[in-house]
Amino acid sequence: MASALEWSDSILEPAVECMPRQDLDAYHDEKLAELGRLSYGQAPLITKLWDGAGVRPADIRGRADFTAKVPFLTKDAIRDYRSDTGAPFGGLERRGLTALDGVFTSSGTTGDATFFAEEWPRGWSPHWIGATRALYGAGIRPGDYILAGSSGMRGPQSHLAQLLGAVPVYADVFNDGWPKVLEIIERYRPAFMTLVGITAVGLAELSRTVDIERAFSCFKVIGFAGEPLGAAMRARFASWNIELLTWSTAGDVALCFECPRHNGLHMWEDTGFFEVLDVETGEPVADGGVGELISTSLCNTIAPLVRYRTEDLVRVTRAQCACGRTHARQWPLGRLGDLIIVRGVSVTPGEVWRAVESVPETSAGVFQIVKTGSRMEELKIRVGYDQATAPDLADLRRRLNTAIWAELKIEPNLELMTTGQLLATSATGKIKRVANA
Amino acid sequence: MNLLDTLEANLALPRGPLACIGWADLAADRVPMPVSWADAEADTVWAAGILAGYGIGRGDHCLFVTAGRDYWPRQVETAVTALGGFIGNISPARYEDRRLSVYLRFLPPTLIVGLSEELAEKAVRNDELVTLLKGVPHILAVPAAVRILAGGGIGAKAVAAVGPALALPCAEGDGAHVDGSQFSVAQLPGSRALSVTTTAGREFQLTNGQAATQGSVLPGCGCGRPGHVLYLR
Repeated sequence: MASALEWSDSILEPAVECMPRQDLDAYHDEKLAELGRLSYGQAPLITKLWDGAGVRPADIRGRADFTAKVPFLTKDAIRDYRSDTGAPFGGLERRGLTALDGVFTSSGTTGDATFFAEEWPRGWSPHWIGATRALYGAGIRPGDYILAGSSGMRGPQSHLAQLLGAVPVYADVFNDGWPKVLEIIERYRPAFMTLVGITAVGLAELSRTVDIERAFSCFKVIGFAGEPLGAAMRARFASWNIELLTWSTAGDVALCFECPRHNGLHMWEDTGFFEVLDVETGEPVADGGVGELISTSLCNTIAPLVRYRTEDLVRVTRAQCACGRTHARQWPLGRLGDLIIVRGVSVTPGEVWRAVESVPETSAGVFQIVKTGSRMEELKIRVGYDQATAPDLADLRRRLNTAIWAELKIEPNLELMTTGQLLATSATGKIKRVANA
Repeated sequence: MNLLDTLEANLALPRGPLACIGWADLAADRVPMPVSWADAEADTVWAAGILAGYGIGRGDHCLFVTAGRDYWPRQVETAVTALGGFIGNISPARYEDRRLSVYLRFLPPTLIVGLSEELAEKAVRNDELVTLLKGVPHILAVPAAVRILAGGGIGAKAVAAVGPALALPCAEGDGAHVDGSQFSVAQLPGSRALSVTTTAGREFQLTNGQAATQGSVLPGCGCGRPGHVLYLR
C-alpha cells in the first residue's frame, strides 16, 4: 500500500482547511453570537439554562463572552428534560419536526440513547459531508470503490462515497464475515473501508491463512473507528503495509479523521467551537494539554449542542499541522468515566492496553476492566488470548501479571478466556473496555 | 464554510459511474448488483408512490431496521425524505431493543420498515415494547418477523427483497408490490420459488433468476398498481 501522503496531492477546500487562525477566531466570534440569538427563546433547555445563569444573547459578542458566561450542557440534562417534557431532542430543538431529514442516536451505553437531529442540504447528510475533506486528503477520488454500509445508525454511509464521486459497495464485515468481504475486495479492489476493534481482531486471525498484504494492496487507506487503536495492533497493520487513519467524532458535532501525517485528528472548526477544560479545575488547559472536550455545534440547524460536556478525555492542539491545515487536532484518550482508582492508583484502559498487548498471546488487545466503583480495592481484568497459540495458561497468567505490574504497579485479578469468548460478550461490535461488574 | 461550501466542492467532483453496488440474494448465491443512477432514481420514485399511500409526508418519522449490506433500505429511505418525511435507523440485532424503545417513546414513527426476526423475538417478550409497537400506525417487517409479531398481537405487513427487486406492500392490500417497470416475477410451478427478470434498461441484468426469498404471485391488488403482487408469508 502506498502512503496516503502520496495521494494527498490537493486539499478539497484549501481556503477553509488552511484558513489563518485569526480568521477562524473572527468566524467563531460571529457564529457564537449568532448561535445565542438563534437558540435562546427557541430551544427550551438552552433558554432555561441561560435564564438560570442570567445570560441573554446580547451578552454574547464572541468567544470571550461565550466561554465566560454560557452555562454547560450535559447529557444528563438533555435526558432529564426529555423525560420530563417528552421533547424528543431534550429541549435543544429550535425548529419543528418538519425541518428534519434524519434522526440518529448515540450508542446509549450510559443510559437512554440521545438523538442527533439532521437537516440535509440538497438531500445530503451533513454527518458524511464532514468526512469528505479527510478522505479527499487521503487520496480518495472519483471512480474509486469504497466498502460501506448503505445506511446505519448514523445515517446513509453511502453518501460518503457518492459525495466523493466514488462508488459505494455495500458490505458489512460484522454481518457478512471476512471470507465474503475478502471476495468483495478481490473483485472490486476498493480504495477505502473502515474497521472497528472486533473486525480488526478477526483480520489478525485471518492472517494465518490469507496473505493480508496482497489482499489489501488495493486500499489507499483504511479507517479505524469506535475506540483508540493499540500500538501493537497499529504495528501489525503496518507489517501488512496497511495505512490506517483512525476516526472519531469531534464532540458529537462532526466527524474527525486522522491526518495523513499521522499527527492527530483534524477537528473542523468551521463546524464547531471546541474547548478543552481541566477535569479537576474546569479551567482551560494550555495548547497541547489534556482535558475534557467541550463542544458547540456551528453546523446543526435543528438542535445544536451549546457548550456540551462530552465527557471525552482528549489532548488538543491548535498549532498548524505539517499538512498545512490550520484547524485544531485532537488525540482521543478515552472517556472520563473510564478513569478508575485502584488502591489509590489511577488506572486508564490505555495503560492496561499497553501491558496486555505486550504479551504475544494477548497482543490483539482484547480485554475488559471489571468496574465495581470509581474507587476499587482490586483490579479485575478479563483478558482474551489467542486460542490458536494453545498457551500454557498458568504461564500466560504469570507473564500478564508481570506486564501489568510493570505498567501499573498493581497485581491484577485476571480472568482469562479466548478472544472469541470475550468478543462474544459484545453485541455491538465494540469492545467495552470498562464494564460494570 | 460550515459544510455548505464542502458540499459545493463535493458536487463539483465528477459523479461516480454507478450509484452503488448492492447485492441480489439468489437461491444459489448472493451476487453483486450494480445500480445505475437512473435505476436509483426510478426506484425512489416508485417507492415514494407506494409510501404516499400511507400518507407519509412532512414531519413523519419512518424508522428503518437495516444491516447496512442491502440496497433496498436506501431506496425506501430516499423515498421518505423525498416525500418530506425523516428517517431514523437501528440495526436488526436483538440488542437494538433499547434504541427501538427510545425511538418509540420519544419520536414515535408513522412507519417502521424492515423490522427483523431477531428484534421481533425480543420485542414480543417485552410488554412495554408490545404496547408501543401496537401504537405504530404501519409496520413493514421481514416475512419471518410478521408471524412473530402477530403472536404478540402486533399487526405488520411483509417486506422483502426478491433477488434484485424490492417487494413493498401498499397501504391498501396485504400483498407486496414489485415495480413492473423494472422487474417481472414468476412463481415456479408447484412451488413457492420465485424467479425474477430485469427489464432491458436495468444496469443489473437477470433473466429468470431464482430468488432466495420465497412466496407466491397474487392475481393483483385492490389498489390497481401495475406490476406483480406477491404474498411473502
